[in-house]
Amino acid sequence: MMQPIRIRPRDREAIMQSLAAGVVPRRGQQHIQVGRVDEVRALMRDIDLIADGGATIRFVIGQYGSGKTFFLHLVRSIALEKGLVTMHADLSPDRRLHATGGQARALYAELTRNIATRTNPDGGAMPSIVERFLTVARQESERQGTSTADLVRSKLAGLSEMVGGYDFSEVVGAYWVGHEEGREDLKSAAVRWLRGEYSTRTDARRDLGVRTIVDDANVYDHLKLMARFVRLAGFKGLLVGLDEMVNLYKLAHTQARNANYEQVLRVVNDCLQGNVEHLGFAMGGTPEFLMDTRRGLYSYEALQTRLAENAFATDGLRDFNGPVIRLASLTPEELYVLFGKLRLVHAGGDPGAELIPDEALVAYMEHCQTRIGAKYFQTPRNSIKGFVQLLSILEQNPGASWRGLLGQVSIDEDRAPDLEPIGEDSPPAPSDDTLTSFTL
Amino acid sequence: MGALILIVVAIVLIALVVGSASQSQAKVSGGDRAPARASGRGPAMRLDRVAPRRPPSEGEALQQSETCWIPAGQTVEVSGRRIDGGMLYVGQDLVALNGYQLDPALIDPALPVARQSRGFSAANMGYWPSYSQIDASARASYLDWLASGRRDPRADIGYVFLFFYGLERRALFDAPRLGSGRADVPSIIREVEGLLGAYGENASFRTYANSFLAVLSASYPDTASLVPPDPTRFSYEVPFSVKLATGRFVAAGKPIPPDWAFAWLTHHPQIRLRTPGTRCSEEFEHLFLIRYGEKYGAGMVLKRNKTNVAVVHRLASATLREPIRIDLDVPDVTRLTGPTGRLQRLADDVQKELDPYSRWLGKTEDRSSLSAVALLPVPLARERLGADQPLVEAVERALGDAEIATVSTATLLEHWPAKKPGRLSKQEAAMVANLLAIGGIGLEPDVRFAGPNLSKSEASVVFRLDTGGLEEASSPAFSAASALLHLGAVVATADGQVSAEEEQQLREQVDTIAATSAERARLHAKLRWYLECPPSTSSLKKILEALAEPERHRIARVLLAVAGADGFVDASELRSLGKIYRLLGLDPSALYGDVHEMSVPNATAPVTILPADQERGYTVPSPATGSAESGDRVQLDVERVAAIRAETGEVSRVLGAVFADPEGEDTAADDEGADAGVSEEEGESLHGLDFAHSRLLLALAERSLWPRPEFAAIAEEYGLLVGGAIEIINEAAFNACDEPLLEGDDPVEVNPYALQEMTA
Repeated sequence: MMQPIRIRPRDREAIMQSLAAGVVPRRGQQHIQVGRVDEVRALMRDIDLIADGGATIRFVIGQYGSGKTFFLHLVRSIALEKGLVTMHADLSPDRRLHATGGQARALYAELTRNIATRTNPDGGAMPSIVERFLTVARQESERQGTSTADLVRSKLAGLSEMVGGYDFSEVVGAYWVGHEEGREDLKSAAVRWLRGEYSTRTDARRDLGVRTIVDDANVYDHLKLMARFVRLAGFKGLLVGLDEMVNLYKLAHTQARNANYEQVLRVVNDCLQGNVEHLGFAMGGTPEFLMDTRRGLYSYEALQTRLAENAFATDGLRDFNGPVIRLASLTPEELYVLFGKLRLVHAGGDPGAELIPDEALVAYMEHCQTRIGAKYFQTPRNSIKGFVQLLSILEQNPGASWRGLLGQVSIDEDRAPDLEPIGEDSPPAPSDDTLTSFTL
Repeated sequence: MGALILIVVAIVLIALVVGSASQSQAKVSGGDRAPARASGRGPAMRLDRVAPRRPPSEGEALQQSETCWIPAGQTVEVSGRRIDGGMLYVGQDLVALNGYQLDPALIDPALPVARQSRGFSAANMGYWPSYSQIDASARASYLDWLASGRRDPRADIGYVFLFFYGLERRALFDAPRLGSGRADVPSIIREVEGLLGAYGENASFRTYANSFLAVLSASYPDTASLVPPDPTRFSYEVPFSVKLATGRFVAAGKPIPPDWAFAWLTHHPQIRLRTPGTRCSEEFEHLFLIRYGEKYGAGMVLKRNKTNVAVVHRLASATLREPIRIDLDVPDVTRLTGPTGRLQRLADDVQKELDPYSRWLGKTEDRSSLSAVALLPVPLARERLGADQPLVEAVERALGDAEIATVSTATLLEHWPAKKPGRLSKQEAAMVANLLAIGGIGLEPDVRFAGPNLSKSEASVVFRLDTGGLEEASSPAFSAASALLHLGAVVATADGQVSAEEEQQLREQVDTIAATSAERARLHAKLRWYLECPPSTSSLKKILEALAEPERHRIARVLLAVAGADGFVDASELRSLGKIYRLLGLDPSALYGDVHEMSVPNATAPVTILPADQERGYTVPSPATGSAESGDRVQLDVERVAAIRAETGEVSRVLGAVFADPEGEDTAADDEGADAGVSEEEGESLHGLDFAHSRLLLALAERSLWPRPEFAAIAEEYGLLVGGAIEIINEAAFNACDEPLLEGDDPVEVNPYALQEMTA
C-alpha cells in the first residue's frame, strides 16, 4: 500500500495536466518516478560534481517510450533545486550542434529561450540571470566605491580570454548601461544577443557595438561562456540538456553528420578531461543513435572508443561511471506501479482519497492490451494519458463506476517514429514526440 | 466360344468315365493290366485304366502300401534301370487313397517304357502326372532321373513331384498307421531336404516341400531339425520352422535369439528389404545381428499370444485331396504386428547404415578397398580393417593424451589415397571422417554433420569419440545448435580476437545445449574449429531459414550475450551482428534496441527454451519482459512489483531529500554560492538575505500585487535590479520554505505563505 505523501496542489495540477495532454510534466516528477534509483543517483552525483566545479557528460540511452525525456526533465528539476541553471532543447532538423545554415544558432537560441533557474523553472530566465549578476556587481561596487561599469568589466575580464568572451562582456556591460540610462532598447538588444537571436553581425554592431554574434561556428564556446557567467551571477553551475539526439543520426549527409559528431566529441573530450568547469551535459537518444555503426555515434571512431562502456550487467552489477546511462523499457509491473503512483498523486497524496482499487489498475492494463496490443507497456504515453483521463472523468462523476467507464477510454497506438535519414534540404518534420515539444 | 468347347469336352469325358467304370474295376481287381495299358494314349485310354468305384478301406490301402514300398536304402531294378536309395512304391496294385485311380506314385514295372528317354529335362507330362498315365518316353525319363540319384539340377520338376508323391503317401498315410512307415520318416525328411536343396528354386515345389516338412516336424517333433531356413529364399508365409522355433522360445519365456529373429525378418511376407538388404546381404545379416544384440541383448522377449501355430499341408499328390492340418500348442508369434514392426524398423536402420556402402558397391563392385571399407558402418569396418591404420595412427600421435586437438588438414590427407591430391570429393570427405570414426576419433569439419568439405579448410579438429564411433544422425536441435555456434564464432571473431569471456560464453552454450556427451564432444570440436577458421555465414542461410521465428530470436539473443561477454559490444561486433540479423531474417534496425535491452537490468535471468522437437531445452537470456501474458489477461509478476515498489520507495526518499528539505545541508551549501549577495555588516538580515534585499522584501510586503514599473522603482531605491532581486529573494524563500516568494513577471505577485515564513 502507498504511504501518504505531501504533494503541493500546484505540482498535482502540473502532473495531471501534462500527462493528460501526453507531455512530460515540468514539475513534480519526483512524485511519479518509478524505480531507476541507481540512474537517479548517478545523475545526482553529476549535479553535485558540477556544483563542485567539475564537468560531466551523460548519454541517456533508451528505446522509444522508455522515458528518456521524463528522466532528463527529472534531472533538470533536481539541478534547478540544487541551485544550477539549466538549458535544454530538442534537436531537430533545424536545430543541430553544427551547421552552416543557421541551424546550430537556432539550437543555441532554443537553449537560451529555455534557460531556467529555480525561480524561473519554465525558462526565459536570461534577463534574471543578467540582472542578478549586475545586482551583485552593483552592490559590490557601492561597497568598494568604484563604478559599477568598471566592476562589471573587471569581473568579466576572465571571460575575455575565451572565444567570444570579449564581446560577451561588452554585451553584459551594455545591459548595465541600458539599465542606468533607462534604455530598454539597449537592454533588450543585449538579451537578444545573449540569446543568439542576432542573425547578422551588422545588426549587432549597430545595436550593441560588438563585432561578433553567436553563430553556427561558436555555439559550444558560448555554452562554455554561459557556464562561467552563471557562476559569476551566483549560481552553482550550468546543466545543458539535449534531447532527441537521434536527429543527428538521421542526417543523411555524412559530412554534416560527422561535423556534428565532432562537436559531440569536443564536449565529451572537454568533460572527460576536465577542460571546463561547472558545466554538465545530458543527451538523450535511442540505441541506434549510440550504436549504429554506419550512422550512430559508433560510426565516429574517436567517439566509439571514448564511449566504451561496460555494457553488460554482470552478476546484476552495473557500471554507472561510464558516460552512457541505459534506460530499460518499461515492463507491465513498472507501469502498474506507475498507475498506482498516479492514482495517489491524483488523490492529492492521500491514499484514503484514491478513486479506484488495485483491481481497476489491472483491468485498465488489460483494456490497453486489447486496444494497443501486447507491447502497450513499452510505449506507455497513450496508456498513461488515457489513465489520467479516466481518473479525471471519475472525479467529475462521483457516482460513476470505473468498470462502466473503462470501455469508453480510447487509447491510440503510439508508434515509434521512423529513423529514415533526413536530407539536408527536406522540410522540417513535425515533431511527433509531443512529450518533448514544449515552447514558451 | 472357348467355354462352350470346354463344356462339350467335359460332357464327353463324363460319359466315357461312366461307361468304362465297370471294366476298369474288373481289371484292377483281376490283376490283368499290361497289354491294354501298353498302347494307352490319350485321355480316353488313361481314364479307362483307373478309377475304382470306391476308396479302398484303410486296411486294404495299408496292405497295398506295404506290398509295394521299397524302403530307403534298397535298390530296385525297373526296365533295366538300377535305382538306388529306395523310397518308391513299385508293383502292380496300389490304388490311390481316394479310390478313383491308381496311385500316381506307383511304378508299375509291367508298363511299357521307351527304350531311349528324351532326357529328363524335357517336360512331357500333364500337370497332375501319374506314372501309370504318362507315356513310355516320360516313364523312361523318370526312371533315368531316379537312377541318376534324384539330384540332377536339369530335371524337369514334374519328375521330382512324381517321386515326391510317394514320399507324401508314405509319410502321411502309412507312417501314422504302421511301425515300418514310422521308421521311414527321418529318412524321408532328409530326402525332402535334399530335394529342396536341389530343386528349392522352384517356388511351387518349395511350397509343397516346406509345408510337407512342416507337417512332419509338427507330427514328429523329435525328428525335425530346427535350423533357420535359407534367408535368400522368399516365402509367401513365414516358414513353419521359424514359427515353431520362435513360438517355442516364447512359450518357454526365453528371448528370441538373433539368428531366429533374422529368419523371422527375412521370411516374413510383410517385411520388405530395400536394395542394401539384398545387394550386400552378407553385411546386412552381420550388422543386423550386431544391432539386434545391441538393442535386445540376448533377444526380444515377447508375451505369449493366443493364436497357436497351425500347419496345413495340401498334398501335391492326387492320392489324397483332403488337406492335413495339425494344431500345435505353440504360439504363432510371427503373426504379431508389434515385433514384426520392430524388426522392420531395425532392418530399416541397418539398411540406412549400409546405404553408402551399398551405393558404392552398386557403382564399383568394390568390396575391399580402403574407400569401400570407409563407407561401411563402424563395427563391420573395424573387422575388415584390423588395427593398424596409418591415418588413425597419425591422428593418435597428434592427439597424444588430449581429448581434442587441432591438426593441419594437409597432414591428415597425406594418409588418404585421394583421387586428386589435396582435394577431396564430398564423398571422400565423408569417408575420411568415417575411417577416423572407425578408429574412435571424431573430426571437424565433418560433411556428415553439415560441415563443409574438410579439404577446403586449412586446419581440422580431431577429438576422441566416447561412443565407439556410433553417432546419432543430426537432429534439428543439433543443427540449430551448430548454427548458433557458427554465428557465435562469427560474432566473437568479429573484433579480430576471441576473448576468454566470449569463448567461455560459447562453451557454456555447448554445455547447456548438448543432450548427450557425444553431442557435447562434437559441438565443442565444432566450436573450436569455428573459432580457428571463422567460416563465412553464407552456408548458414539454408539452416537458418528452416528455423521457426522464435528460435531465430533466441539465437539472436544468445549471440548478443556472446558479443557482450567481454563487457562491451564494439562497432565491429555490431557490424557482424547486423549481418547476422539479416541472415536470420530479423529486422536489422531492431539490433540496437536488442543490444540495449540486453545491457539493462531484467535481461540477464536465464530462461529455458525448447526447440521445435520439444526434446531438449537450452538456456539463453530472456527478453526484458519479466511477465507472461496470455491472451487479453495481464499477469503481473508479484515479486517484480514488490521489487519495483521497494526501488520506487528508495528513489522517492532520494528525491525527497532534494525537493522537500527546506533546511539542512541545502541551505548551508547555499551560503557559499550566494555569498556575493550577502552583506553581513549592515544589520537586519532575513534568512540570509543582505540588507538591501531584506529592505526590499519588507517594502514589498505591503501589497500583494506589484506592477513591474512600480516594483522596479522600489528596487532602484535599494540599488537593485528587478530580475536579480527576484532571483535572490526567491532563492532565499526556497531555502526557507520550499516555495518562491515572488511569482509572475508583470504584475509581480507576493506569495503570502512564503512571506510569512520569511518575515516570521
